[in-house]
Amino acid sequence: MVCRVLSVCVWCLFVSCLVNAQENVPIISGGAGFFSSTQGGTNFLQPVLAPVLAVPLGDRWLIESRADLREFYFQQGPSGSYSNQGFATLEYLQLDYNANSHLTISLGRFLTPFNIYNERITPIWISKLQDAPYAASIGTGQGYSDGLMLRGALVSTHDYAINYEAYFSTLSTVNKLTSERGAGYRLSVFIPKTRLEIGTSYRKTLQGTRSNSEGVDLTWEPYQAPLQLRGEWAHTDGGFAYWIQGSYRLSQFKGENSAIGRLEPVFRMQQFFRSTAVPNDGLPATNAQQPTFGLNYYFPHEVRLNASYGRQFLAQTTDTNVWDFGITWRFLFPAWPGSSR
Amino acid sequence: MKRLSFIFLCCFTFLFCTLAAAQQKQNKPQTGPSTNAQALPPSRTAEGEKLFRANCGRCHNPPESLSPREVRAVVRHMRVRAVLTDEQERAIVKFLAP
Repeated sequence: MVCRVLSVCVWCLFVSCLVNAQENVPIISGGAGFFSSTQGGTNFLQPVLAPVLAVPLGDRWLIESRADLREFYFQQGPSGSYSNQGFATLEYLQLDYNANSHLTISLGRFLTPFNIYNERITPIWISKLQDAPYAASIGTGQGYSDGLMLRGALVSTHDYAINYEAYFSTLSTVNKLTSERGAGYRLSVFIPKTRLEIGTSYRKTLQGTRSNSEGVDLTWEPYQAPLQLRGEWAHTDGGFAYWIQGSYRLSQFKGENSAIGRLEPVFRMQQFFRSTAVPNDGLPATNAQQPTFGLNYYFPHEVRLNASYGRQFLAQTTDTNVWDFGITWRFLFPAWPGSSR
Repeated sequence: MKRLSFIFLCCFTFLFCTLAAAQQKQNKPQTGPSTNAQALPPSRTAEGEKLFRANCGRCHNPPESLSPREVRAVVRHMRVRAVLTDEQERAIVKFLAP
């Protein structure tokens, strides 16, 4: 199956080359990284490659895809030996048609648009903390959907924009392309002058217990300071969770390219409250909370170091320390050589 | 065996693209957004830069270098992610690749 998908990608590249060799050059972007984590004295190591392919076809079509290739090395207990397992995930492979300013139609496999984490913050070169929050497991249906998505701006002015995303996902049990049957939407209001965005999401799972999920997200990045505030609240049958995260790059001290200006402290607080036991919902079995302190350092050439410490408090279980350390590199280049004009 | 083939194919593709990019960079002008902003009159770039900061810049920094050949694909990709309109897409393309 993976070979077939790759063959399709290569074919698309070839076709787009014939369509327009100079203006619509496909790009290969993405990130590579190495992450280590120590949770309760047990070590986990993960080398990761996450390539992104974008193939524009003509003026309105786009094929885009992202994969996640990682080897997961895990220790058998605090002083045990290491075992490893490889994972290859096709995160999205979608055909987009930009019908007009108010409508883009996406067909294929896409990231489920529920709140902001799944679509915007999962790339390893964007996320400021290594671990996903508890709320990321709510309303996303394993994170990926196979089906049809409509998105666009209902209204877009200089003062505000009202955006929407609506989708239907079918049940798929195909290896590497699994998805749940469900439907949902996200509706958001964005104010460009203050870079403030508030969104609300809903998902109805159309299989099994047919659960409902609701969410609210907020993002604020003022122009006056390199501050970023993000947060989410999400509710589902098994309970509800929230996270709020703030980061501040110290670029106001001697500029963003100074030694201190490359530093970015991060703090995230998250909690989960269990209401009903739901097996395999990706959430903690009991109430949980975790404050996390992180520090990112931005090197030249898109290289970033990140380190963080968190304390996980689980009800009825021993609390654990979570130490993370990682390095990421973001890359971008055209899919084939050619003239620079 | 299939897994080995897959890993080999990935490595080969990555190596090919890296070599291609290395060759490309010999002739590639380093036209990051800040350079473009300096090269053009403020009136032409102001709107694109403003839109870039308001939309794309909310999640990530601009790439350190971006050749004009890459801009269209990058902005088309961003258009879908950041729900940009036709006018916004054109303005950002002008800002990144005047």
